[in-house]
Amino acid sequence: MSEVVATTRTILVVGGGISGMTAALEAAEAGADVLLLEKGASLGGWVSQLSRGHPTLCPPARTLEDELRRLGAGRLRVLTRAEVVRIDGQPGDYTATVRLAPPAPREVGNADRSGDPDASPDADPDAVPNPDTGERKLRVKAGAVVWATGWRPYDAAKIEPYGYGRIPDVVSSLDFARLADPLGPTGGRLLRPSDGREARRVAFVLCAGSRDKNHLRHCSRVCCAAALEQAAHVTGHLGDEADVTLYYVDIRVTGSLEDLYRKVRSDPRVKFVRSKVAQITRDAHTGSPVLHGVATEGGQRYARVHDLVVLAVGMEPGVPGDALPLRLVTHAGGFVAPDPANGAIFAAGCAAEPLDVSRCVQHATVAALRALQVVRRVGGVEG
Amino acid sequence: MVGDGPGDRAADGPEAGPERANAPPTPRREGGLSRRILVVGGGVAGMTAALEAAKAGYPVTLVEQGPQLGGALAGLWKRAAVRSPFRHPVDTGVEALAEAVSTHPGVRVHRSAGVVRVAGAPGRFTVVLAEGNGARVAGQVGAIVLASGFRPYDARRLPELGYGESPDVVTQLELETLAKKASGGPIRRPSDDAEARRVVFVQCAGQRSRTQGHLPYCSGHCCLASVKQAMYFKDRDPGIETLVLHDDLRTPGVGGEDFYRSAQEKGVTFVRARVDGVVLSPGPGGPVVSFPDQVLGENVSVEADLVVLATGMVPVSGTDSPLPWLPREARPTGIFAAGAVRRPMDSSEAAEDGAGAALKAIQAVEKAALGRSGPSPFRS
Repeated sequence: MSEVVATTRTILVVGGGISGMTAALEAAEAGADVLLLEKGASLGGWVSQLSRGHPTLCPPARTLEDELRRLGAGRLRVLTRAEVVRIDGQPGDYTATVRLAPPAPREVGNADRSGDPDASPDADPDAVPNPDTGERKLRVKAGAVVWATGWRPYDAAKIEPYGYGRIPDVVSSLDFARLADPLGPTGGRLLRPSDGREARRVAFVLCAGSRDKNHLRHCSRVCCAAALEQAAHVTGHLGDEADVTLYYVDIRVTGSLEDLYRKVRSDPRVKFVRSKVAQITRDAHTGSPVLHGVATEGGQRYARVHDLVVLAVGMEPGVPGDALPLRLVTHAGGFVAPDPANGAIFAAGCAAEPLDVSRCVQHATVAALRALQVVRRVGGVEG
Repeated sequence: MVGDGPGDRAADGPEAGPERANAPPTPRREGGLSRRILVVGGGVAGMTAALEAAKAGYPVTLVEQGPQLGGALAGLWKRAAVRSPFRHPVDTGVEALAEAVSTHPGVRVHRSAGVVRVAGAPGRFTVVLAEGNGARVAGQVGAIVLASGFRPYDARRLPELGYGESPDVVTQLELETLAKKASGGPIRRPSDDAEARRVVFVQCAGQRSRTQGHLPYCSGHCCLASVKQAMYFKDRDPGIETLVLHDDLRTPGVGGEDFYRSAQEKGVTFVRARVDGVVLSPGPGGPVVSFPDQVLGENVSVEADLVVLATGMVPVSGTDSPLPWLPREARPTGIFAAGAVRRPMDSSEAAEDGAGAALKAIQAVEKAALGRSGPSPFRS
């Protein structure tokens, strides 16, 4: 790995999703040396896995393609299957310990540092693979770190009354995205898991495990727009057969996304019920999920049968606070706070707070700038 | 002098020292290229863009049309909490930010000034500024950040909500003025200077509406602003009645929900009532607000000392389309929009957006120095 060279003027970006890629590219295009590490085998994160995005409503993969096209630029290097397990040091002089999973990571990018006088090889005794696991360790230097480890969906099974895991036709919004994906396991057909029949009566339960002191305290910002999009997908897919219900507390879409809300709201095939769903049971005869609760407006108690129930779950940090490779100041939910005590470790995107794709790009650009400021200071006159 | 074109190198000399010390590598510096970044607008987005670009080692010129830096943020009493536990309103920090911008050796501030002409391309824009005294100054800059901000929606278009009819019906920004005047003491209503002890907030006033002349979009920040403003009253005296009429209450993000929860704990009353059902009429002691309570399913009337309308933001972008927001990078290239001119946003996001635009401007300058950006001459 002698070609993996990093100095205190390097910006280390941890996480290869949309935020990490953006931060890496933005810093590199401003002239910085950047090393981007991704734990998984490929770049792209959630954006590469979800077929539709918001708020622009263009496929997020388009954004991704733009980013990937830019990867060849500048002094940006990428290592996949590389996980940061520890970070020591201080602003301007960090050392990250990186675990490299077998097989050997491939380096992409076009940075040829062979003639660079600053590029002293980072000889590392641990670079020899562990004979049992094939893992290797690598230590890299960096002046600043962009922490872009993203988010993970809240575990729907923790919302006990909703029966996720017990009732087969209760799925999460991420599961639904796979069902709706034309390249997914059902070829885009909304086949419900229990019996493979096409789901017609589809319920979306918003704020599933969100805005709730027992689960996620916060609102993840994106789930309403995602549920509206998924509801529109059902009506578009099933036509007049569609029978969609959204159970919601507040529909939280801002800016021009109001148009999407207005469109779905005016669709006669979509009903809106303002209610926090209390419980989901399984019908004894048909096995279909039944939603129970009280409508906030009107106060009627309901027990409605649906073919498929989609739990719109929120976002929590991809790396929880106690699993961070060093101590960082975090908000209550484990998102990394913008705090001076965090030195030159700058969180970007959903590692810092729940954001949609465009806000992630916006946020990651700022993290890139803050990192750039640090390495420019380190660079001093020689820069 | 505005910029550091070939003609004003000497004038740039004294300031150039410390900046150059932090300079990034410029492998092939073409003659006549400027690294200076012009920021148009001295609100939170513009000030942040200027300061962050300067901190990264780039010379900055900041142009503000008004006599002071600060923009809309300077008109606020407090802002919503920005960190755990997200419980109370906090200082805006605008004075410290303006001070940091004004005293940074890399930033030149032109107050009471405007940009009258821009021509050129990334790395070689020629700009002409008009100063307040009528003087014109010309110079060269490498990239431009446009942070011209927003104007508040004109509440005079909402006579049905009593605006203009009763002096005690005010917008959120006007309430901020009253709160600043009170400076922690009792907030007084405009009509007779009596303390406002019954306050009603009406969300989505002239927003999320298809009515001609209203805004079709949600400005996104106003729910949190009303939550914060209700706390101005409750934090001073829990006995003051505060009522927020809303349809969807929108407080997304890492701390919005905790801030909303805190207001509920402080005794702020939240009632579901869509704005299109809200009617204001004059009463003996103040405006009477009637609304259909969507949860109770009945009409309710309350007398208020003060009614606050949550009106939205309209960008200052020079276009009148229904969604007149600017994209990040304008055509021609090298000009980057930042802050509320791009989409409705609160001050925290505007600061973030300004910093991001600073980086885009830095990139434009660096690419021009490498000769990557071909000339795309234009005139405006």
